Amino acid sequence: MDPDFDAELYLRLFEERALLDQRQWRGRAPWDQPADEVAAALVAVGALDADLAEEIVDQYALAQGLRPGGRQMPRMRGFSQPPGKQVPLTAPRVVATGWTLEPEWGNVRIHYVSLGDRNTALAITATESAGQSLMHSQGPGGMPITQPQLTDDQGTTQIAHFSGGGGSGGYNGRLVTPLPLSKTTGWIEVGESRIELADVEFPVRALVEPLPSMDPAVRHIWRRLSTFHHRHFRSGSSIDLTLEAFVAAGVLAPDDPLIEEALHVSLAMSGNPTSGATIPEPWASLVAGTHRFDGPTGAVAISVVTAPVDGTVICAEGLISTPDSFQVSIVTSPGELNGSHPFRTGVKNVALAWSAEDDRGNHHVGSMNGWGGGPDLSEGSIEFWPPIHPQARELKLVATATTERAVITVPLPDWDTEE
Amino acid sequence: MTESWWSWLLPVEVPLECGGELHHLRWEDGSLAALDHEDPEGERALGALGAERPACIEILDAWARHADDLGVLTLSSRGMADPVQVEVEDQMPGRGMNRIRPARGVTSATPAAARGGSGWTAFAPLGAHPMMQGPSPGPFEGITKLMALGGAMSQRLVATVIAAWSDRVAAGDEAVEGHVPTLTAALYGRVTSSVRSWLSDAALEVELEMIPASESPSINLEGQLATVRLPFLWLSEIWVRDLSVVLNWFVLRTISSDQGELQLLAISPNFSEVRPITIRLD
Repeated sequence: MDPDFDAELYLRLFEERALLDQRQWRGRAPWDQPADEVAAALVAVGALDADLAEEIVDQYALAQGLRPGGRQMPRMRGFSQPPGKQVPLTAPRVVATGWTLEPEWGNVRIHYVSLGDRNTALAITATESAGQSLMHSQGPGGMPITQPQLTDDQGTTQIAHFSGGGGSGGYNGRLVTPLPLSKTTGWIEVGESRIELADVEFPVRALVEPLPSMDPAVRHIWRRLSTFHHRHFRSGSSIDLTLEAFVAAGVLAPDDPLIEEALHVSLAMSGNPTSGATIPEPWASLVAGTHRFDGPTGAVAISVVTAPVDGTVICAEGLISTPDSFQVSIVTSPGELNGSHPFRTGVKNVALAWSAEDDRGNHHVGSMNGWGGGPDLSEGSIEFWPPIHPQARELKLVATATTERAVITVPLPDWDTEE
Repeated sequence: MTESWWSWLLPVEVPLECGGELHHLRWEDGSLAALDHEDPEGERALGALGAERPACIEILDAWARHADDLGVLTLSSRGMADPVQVEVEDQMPGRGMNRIRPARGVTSATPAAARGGSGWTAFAPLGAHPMMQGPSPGPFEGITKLMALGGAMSQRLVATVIAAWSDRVAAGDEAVEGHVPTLTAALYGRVTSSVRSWLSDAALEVELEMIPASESPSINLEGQLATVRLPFLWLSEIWVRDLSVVLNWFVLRTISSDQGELQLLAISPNFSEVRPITIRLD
């Protein structure tokens, strides 16, 4: 690092220019936060204290908000939360069912049932036979169909509530009971339909390992390029600011080939042509898979709890594969504070970065897709893309933290016989 | 005799709703006073005992808290080309300040050039009031509350903060060392805004070197880049007095200021001449 480089001054002058010059925002996606990008880069290489960086970014975000047409979004941050504490997580019993119920209003595919200590959840996709029929239908006893009654073989009954989303193409989400049903139940009744729960052994493995040694600047660049705000929005459009900051700080030479490589990857990941430049893996397979819709349809029980990854314990519940992506239900403790805001980059790299790799060398990246909870415990799903390759037989899910990563190895079924 | 920093700054008076009545706050000679409250100290004491604190007193206290708060310079306007709009609704959520709403019509009173002053006479800094209570303010709440008083009063708050730090810079105060990036950024934003307005080029790039007041200020233009060397004192002597550009010349520093006469050193818009400009109130 250049000993004369003043990181605080660099960030403050960047903010001053941004305040005076709305050109800073042009060409950038509305969820891009250029100041966050610069601040995170300076923090990542140890040039600037993270708390000071956040203070500066927050103060200028307020200044922006006080200007006509100023962006108000940054002000959504600024309320510090107390740090969460780690609470014990136990793996639920997860049974992939493949059952499809066919009520009058459409059908409900129950991908898997998760029987945990805190609750029981059914991961479902509901499809209506006619528009709006789901939301206007009633189940037994006049209960809303979105709040079915679940019963186990011990006679315990709970009302489940739907959380998820969807539209005319169907609803994806989970039916979750407030209290758990029996973890050893042999079946569950959903309203008047009974689902037999036949456990199938899938030896899922989870390990936590230190991250390979890497220059902090290089690690930050690749991490930023793989941090996706949303699957459909892509990322990388502000990576130029990270690169400029690193050059200014003297941690990257102006002619370092990494700069061109990162810019090419950023362009490619943003869906732009790259003038024939060769994109390295894993990016090449991500770009190549952008238009794939041949993912298998089905679910896999995962049911694993990792050791702490830089202090965060991860419980992976189950995987649902669809033609264009796959989702993995996750619980973490403590909750991911910074990661709870889907539209903020954040100054500190505290959120887990998700990726996956199959046994055929295909790569996937994951982004948050529905997330909730609090400081101690949060849960939601990670959506990965491109979709699972139909011939893949093993998938490694990777959650990367600051110094460690969790690798969850999931054997994949023979999808043809599963469905 | 050293000229006071508030010389050439006109008094400002703003109406304010306070306890259901229309009161007035007046800034003059570096001090803010609540004109309708004869005994602010007594009202603070009553507030400490549980009585509702008048809005005027809250403003006085907020002013005292932020009189040297560099956050003021971060949030406030960099110049004419950088308008700032602060409404009460801009206060942080959950910290309603509905009583503190400036009434319409900010007024400037009579000129006060070269008038003597005694500084903070209407109130004392927060630290001098151990009995002062109330909710702990958020980091920005007090500043935005003061900025909501309106542009002219907000400018006086900015002038107050700039004056405090100009003094510290001049005195070699050790507090300056930890705030050089903030001071530089505050100067950069205002210089950039002024230079761009002066040259009518909103896209002009500006590089700034914040120099000691003892060095010669300068400004050069090469293509689309203006290279500027100015001390932080420029803000106090020139910018807060709205003297950045006089007769389309850019003012670099004050040569002298006395008895209603200002002599300024300025540079022509084609950068070919540096000459004194004299302004005199007759």
